[in-house]
Amino acid sequence: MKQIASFIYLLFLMSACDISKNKAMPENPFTVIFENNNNGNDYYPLDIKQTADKGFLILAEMQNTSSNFPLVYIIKTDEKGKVLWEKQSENLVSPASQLIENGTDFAFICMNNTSFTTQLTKADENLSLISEISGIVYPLAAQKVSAGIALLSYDFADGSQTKFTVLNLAGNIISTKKYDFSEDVKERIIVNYLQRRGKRLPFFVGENGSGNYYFNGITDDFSLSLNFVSQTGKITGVRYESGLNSVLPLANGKFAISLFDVAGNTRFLSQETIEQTQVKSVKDLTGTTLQEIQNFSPIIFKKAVLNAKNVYLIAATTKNGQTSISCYDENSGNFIGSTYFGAGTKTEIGNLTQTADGGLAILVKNYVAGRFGRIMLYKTTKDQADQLGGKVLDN
Amino acid sequence: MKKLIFAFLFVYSISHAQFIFGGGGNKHTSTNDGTNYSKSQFWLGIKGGVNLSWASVGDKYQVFQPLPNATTFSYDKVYDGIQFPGFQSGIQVIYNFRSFFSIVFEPAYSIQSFAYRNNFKWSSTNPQSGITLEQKNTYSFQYLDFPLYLRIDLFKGNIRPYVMGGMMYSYLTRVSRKSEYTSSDDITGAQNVIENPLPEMSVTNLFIRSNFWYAFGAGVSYDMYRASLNNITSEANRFSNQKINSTGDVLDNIKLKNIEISLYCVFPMKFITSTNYKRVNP
Repeated sequence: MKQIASFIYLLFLMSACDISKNKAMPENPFTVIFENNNNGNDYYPLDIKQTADKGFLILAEMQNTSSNFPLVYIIKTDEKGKVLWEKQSENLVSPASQLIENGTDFAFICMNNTSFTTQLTKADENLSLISEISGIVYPLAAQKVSAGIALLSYDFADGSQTKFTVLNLAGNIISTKKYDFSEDVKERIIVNYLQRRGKRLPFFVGENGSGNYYFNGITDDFSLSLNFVSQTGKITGVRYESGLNSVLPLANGKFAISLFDVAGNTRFLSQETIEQTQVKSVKDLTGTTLQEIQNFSPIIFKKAVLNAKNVYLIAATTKNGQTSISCYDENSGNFIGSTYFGAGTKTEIGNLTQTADGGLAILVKNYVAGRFGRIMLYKTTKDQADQLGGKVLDN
Repeated sequence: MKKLIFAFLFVYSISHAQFIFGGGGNKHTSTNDGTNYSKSQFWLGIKGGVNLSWASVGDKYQVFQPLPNATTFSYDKVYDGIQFPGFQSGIQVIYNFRSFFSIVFEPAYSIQSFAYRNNFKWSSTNPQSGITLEQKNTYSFQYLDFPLYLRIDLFKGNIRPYVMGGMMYSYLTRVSRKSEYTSSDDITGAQNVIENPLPEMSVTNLFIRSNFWYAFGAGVSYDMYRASLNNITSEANRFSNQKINSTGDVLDNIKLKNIEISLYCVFPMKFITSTNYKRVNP
């Protein structure tokens, strides 16, 4: 009997381990798909930021038959992804920027549906207008920089020009630089991009050190090229068939670079010095071909601190419809690890951000039922994110 | 650490069984030899049978977050009742004392399952373009069971009806998940299998290893009812399988319930050697 009693005690001891630990904790990961049962709507997520209340603000665009351009769409959630409010615009289209942080508020650049003018809009429930940017139409890309906002736009009414403009956070123009060209075909390329039709050229802007701006756009060389605004150097593409996808400034003038070749393959250079006074061709950059990445997939670079290391992440869509996230050491450019999301249904990368608790919030487009494009948010724990950063968890 | 405890428990179970089995070699020549030998009996045997199981649902979870402008639609899962029979097999050790009382230990391997359905619907302003999708998800559990029961015989005789009850610890070894999709597309009016059906896959990490049950039953070859005392879904890993979550499915909190019907064949381990190996009958 003594042995039986001790056996029962052992059973209790053993069962107490994982049963007592099995509790719903706030830090547990979660997945949500934002759904409205309407099969006529197609959503594409663009950016996600964590807000002061630990919830999330999601900037997206929605396409339906009511507009030729994708409509601005915003969701605000609580910290577990529950929808607090959503807002779909009727006249604001083709968001050109990610969410731009200004104190506790967020804003974004988009286009007016009828006038094609550029607007700086607050990402709130009313989509309040902050400023209509005078003389700037067809916004292509924008990003927060040290002086405010860097903006790339196109103006076919003003002699066919690419414009690079710096705004302050109130939407007032600080400076503008124009790049003239005269190739008719470009207007169709620009409009297709704004309407998200066909292959989407990767227009982007950025800053490498205070005031040293660059942009990937069409200038006077009949190609998509990376231009340094205050320098003479550039990396030219091969017409619109090959060029840079995205770049991430690292230390000492180096960049992480992704590019697409004429076959649509994505190539990657983890640390590359760009001489900003030289003109080079994208063909001069070899890099590693990322064979698993879907042709012409958007490539998202994001800096993060994982496993107490400064790293950068590359998120992309794979050929089998997953989202891949690879982690590289920011200092050495060495590969650390990778992880994959999705596979039950096809997903496409939207964006990602590191959360205050050290986890990652990953935003993808998920084709639910294999058909309908929906916004899906996956929030990882800090441990899961650190694993991507090379941490080995104790069993 | 958990694996270590489990290994220890397993070794302990074996050694415990050997201890009981060792009682069979402790032969006596009389029922009145001044010891407690004839006041108890050990039985050792095998068991096998079928079980019927279903899920008892606690807190519910969902991947789909209905947007404020969504049409009214329920994302609640619809749980099926009793599933296809599982089975169990193992050994039974009975310690019978004070004539009517027995302690029963019957470690076994069992397979149990439950199923639920997700019904999704998409519509548009065009009435000819509605689409419905039914996802049937069946989970099959493989457990190592370690039950310990107190059995009370209702009267003494060759056939002994009894009641019994007790506790059971189960260690999860594997869970598989099978998904079947059926869709209806109003555009064509056809019933067809939608793309991306998932193959059967192992989803053991979505559940915790331990399951603690209470159990009671009655009979001659008895029916045993068992119900989990704890949630078996892993809170930490609920959203860890993107293959499942991206299809709009996620597990609720689950307690398994189960009816077991087994046949036993047991042998006495204590005999009186002076009377042609007559078994002890306390």
